[in-house]
Amino acid sequence: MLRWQTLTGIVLGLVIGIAILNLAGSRVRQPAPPSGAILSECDGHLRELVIQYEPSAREIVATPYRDFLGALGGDITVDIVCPSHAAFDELVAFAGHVNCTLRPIIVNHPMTTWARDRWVALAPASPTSPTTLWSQPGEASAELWPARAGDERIGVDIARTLGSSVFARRGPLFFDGGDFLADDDTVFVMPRVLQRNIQLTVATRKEFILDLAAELKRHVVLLDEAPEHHAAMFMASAGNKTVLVGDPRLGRQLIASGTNASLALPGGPDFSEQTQRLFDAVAGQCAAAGYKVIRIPTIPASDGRSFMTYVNVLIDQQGSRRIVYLPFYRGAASLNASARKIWEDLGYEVCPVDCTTTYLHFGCLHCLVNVLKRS
Amino acid sequence: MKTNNFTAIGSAALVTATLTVGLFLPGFVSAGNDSDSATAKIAQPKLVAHGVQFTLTAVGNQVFKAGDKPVFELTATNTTSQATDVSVRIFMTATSPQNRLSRMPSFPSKLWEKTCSLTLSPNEIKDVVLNTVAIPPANSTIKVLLAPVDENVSAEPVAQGRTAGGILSANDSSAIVALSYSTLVSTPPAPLTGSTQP
Repeated sequence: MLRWQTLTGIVLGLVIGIAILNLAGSRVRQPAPPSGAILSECDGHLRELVIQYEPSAREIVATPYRDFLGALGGDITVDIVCPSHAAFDELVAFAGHVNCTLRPIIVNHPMTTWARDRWVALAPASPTSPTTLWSQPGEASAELWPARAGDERIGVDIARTLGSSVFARRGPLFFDGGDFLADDDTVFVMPRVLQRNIQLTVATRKEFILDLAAELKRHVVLLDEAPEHHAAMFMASAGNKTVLVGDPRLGRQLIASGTNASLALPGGPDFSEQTQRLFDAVAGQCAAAGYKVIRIPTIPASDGRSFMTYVNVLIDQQGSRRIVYLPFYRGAASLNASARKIWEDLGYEVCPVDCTTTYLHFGCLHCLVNVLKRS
Repeated sequence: MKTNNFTAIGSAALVTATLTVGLFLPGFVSAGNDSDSATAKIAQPKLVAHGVQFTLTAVGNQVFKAGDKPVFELTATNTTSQATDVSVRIFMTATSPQNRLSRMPSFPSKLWEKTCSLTLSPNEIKDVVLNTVAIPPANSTIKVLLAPVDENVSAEPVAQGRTAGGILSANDSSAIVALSYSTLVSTPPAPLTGSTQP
């Protein structure tokens, strides 16, 4: 039988132990576990996804989330990062019936609804090692934009919630997740990433490419010229060394056919030669890197940020079956049909996702969904 | 009697605390941490053109705030043993969130631009004070960029890496962000450094 002195000692020891653990949680810096390559955008079966939901963005994301989540299979888990439990409940209510598993990650701080840019997932280096969420050292305009400052913390929020299967790590380069587009061989990198890092985190372009290749464990193709936006606004990896690149000229031809009811683009469409040249430059650089390039209609707006795009997609590979979750826009029937046919001709099953309410906020489906695990 | 009590309590506490920490510490810290937090590796960004190294600082290490007209000092160092003529363009831009629901900030607007043409003797160091005429708006991220002047490019170029308005685009890989600061007015402005904001 334990004496009172022993019981008191055990209680005291537990208190001390828990206090040490709490301190360790905030202060201990363990070495980062080894990480594998950046996840491919087009290879492997989707197993675990991450979306962010912030109630003020409901009008922007409710429809695409409902379409997308409703189309996912029962073997997929979607982690829903929300500022509160009430926000999670709201999303579950408007999503309606879904087959996938929705799992809340409650962060209790401001955040945006854009999940793609906060981190990129690096595959486990071995079957026993964790997935690494690689984040940048800080958010652009974070001090002016509290929600973006909150986004900066989400990689760590996810890792803390999901336990030892995920590890969050920062830096050293500045980037948005959308600045990279990877397949199982190559990662295309947008020119703006170089400008954000040159003479800040790296001394030279060569050092930048070497650092990125070491971090992402893929052949790095740094684009010299591209539209000033995230990669998936104007290009997509379709697998088998094939990329789709947006083409405003094709979009213009379809608009001219008069079968699109309304295109509410800020400032109207931008079919300028200068913009067309930037899209063509991307196609040229992909071809020079050994890729087959297929062009697909795109309508960039004159604000330079709003793109009616059909490459901002999620791709799922289930054996020989390939599925593309493809944005569509109400009032753009011929554009939608043309884009759908291009994906179908590549052998994809198309799951349409209504992004009419989303694209005017400078992003689309791919920008809203991040991928944590593929099989 | 009292000493024995303290010894027994202390021993039990020590064993329990050790077991608790030993059992739970690995899992506790592996759930994700912020290790490898990085800061910019290069304290003073430099642009090198034709063997001349350019740096830009705030005069007197001034911390700028909304409404100030910034004064900069451009330092050009000829690292070669030959006299040289060289030009550099300096741009000041402002960016602010266009819409807080949007995915990214709006495009930067150009506040001020100047081209400095210098003649430098071998190994000469020259300082140039730049009085800007623009007043940076509040609640914006202000960046000052340096870019080499391409003699083959006109003053308002529509060429690779540059927009029609003459603002450096993200495609211009020859440009560097020399300074960056915030004009947030609700809290004290961020300190002026060459590396705080990407």
